[in-house]
Amino acid sequence: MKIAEHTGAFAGDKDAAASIRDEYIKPTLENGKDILLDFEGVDLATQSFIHALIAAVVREKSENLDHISFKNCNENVQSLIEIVVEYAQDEFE
Amino acid sequence: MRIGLPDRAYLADIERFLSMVEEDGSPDLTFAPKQGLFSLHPLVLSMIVSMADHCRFKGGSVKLDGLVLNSSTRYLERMGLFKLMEQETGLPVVEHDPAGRFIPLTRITNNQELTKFVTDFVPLLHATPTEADSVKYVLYELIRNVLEHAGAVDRGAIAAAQVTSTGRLLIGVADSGIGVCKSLSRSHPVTDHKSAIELAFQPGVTGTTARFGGNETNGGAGLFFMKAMSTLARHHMVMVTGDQMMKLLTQPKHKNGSTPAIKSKLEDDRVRWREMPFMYSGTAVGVDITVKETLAFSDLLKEIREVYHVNVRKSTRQRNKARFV
Repeated sequence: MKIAEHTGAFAGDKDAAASIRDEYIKPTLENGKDILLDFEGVDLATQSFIHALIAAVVREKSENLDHISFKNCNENVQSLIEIVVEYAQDEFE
Repeated sequence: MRIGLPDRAYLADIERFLSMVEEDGSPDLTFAPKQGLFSLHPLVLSMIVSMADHCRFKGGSVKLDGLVLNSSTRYLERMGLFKLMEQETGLPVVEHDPAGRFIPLTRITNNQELTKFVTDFVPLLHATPTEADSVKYVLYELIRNVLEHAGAVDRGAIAAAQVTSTGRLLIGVADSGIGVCKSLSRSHPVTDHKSAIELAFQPGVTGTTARFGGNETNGGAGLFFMKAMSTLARHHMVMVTGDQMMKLLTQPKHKNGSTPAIKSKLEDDRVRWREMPFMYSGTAVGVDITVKETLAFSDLLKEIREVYHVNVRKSTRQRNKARFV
């Protein structure tokens, strides 16, 4: 899945993230297949975009991460993914 | 309601503007700019338009009183204030090249308009890609947050921005929707505007669900990220909603040059509160960013990452990590 084809260079639109999540990520995981999220061409993403993209599937079952690969992430995108992946596994007080 | 203007009102002294808003019991709104010159933060302009929106939504009428022609009122005209207030002024406007200087008041009602607003504006800053990242992020997330929780689809969010000669970007966004308290009360037991603002800035809290950490679409981290960025940049951030104004004060510089500490709870920050003499129906947020010499966005994310987990209970189970290829 090439993220930039849905978002352009700036991945901020949560509606686009939710669409990728519901139409690609969730069905693919349910079919037991692996996922490749390719961020080539994405210069910047927002926390809310990354949250809408992956927080639900990580929170539902963190082992889902074993079936997801993140490709061509720049430093900022990688940091945001790591932040969301971490707090999606947190238990809030 | 009657709105006057002070000589100047920026985030540091936004109280000057708030004290010029008078609740006179009338269903109509009268905007009476002062006769002399004045200088205003875009937040003030966005709030005035939103108050006019609210007035018309409630069936009142909006009018101007005592408008004179000077460089300050021409500035209001160029910023699109009277147009969005639906007021004909007949003021002559000398068009200036807006490149790098300001983005007029814009009504944004959906994500597509928001993306266009940010995409069109950021190149005008003449910033390097690294500098532009922080600006783009703040603009987008700030407006999105207000838009998403306004509960006033047609009126949307009113946003404006201006770049000062010293390279500081001033951003204001306001709506005339349900406000923070009502938005959060859909899922949390908040009873007053001050506690609602405190809760809204806490990471993991969103009005869309009672569950801390949010749901699959909302993480409840947007305002926390904005506050963290303002803290690290040592700038002000202001939120106005209901009868409350919250101002995040600037962080003092230490001799050892250490980075300001990000706090997960607003009550632990340097904050000034003010109970206003009128009710602001909706939410307004103002943020300043230094376009040049701003903290690298990647460094900022590292700082936020360190603090985000302060108020969460660590799970004892093994955590899975994201796999990058």
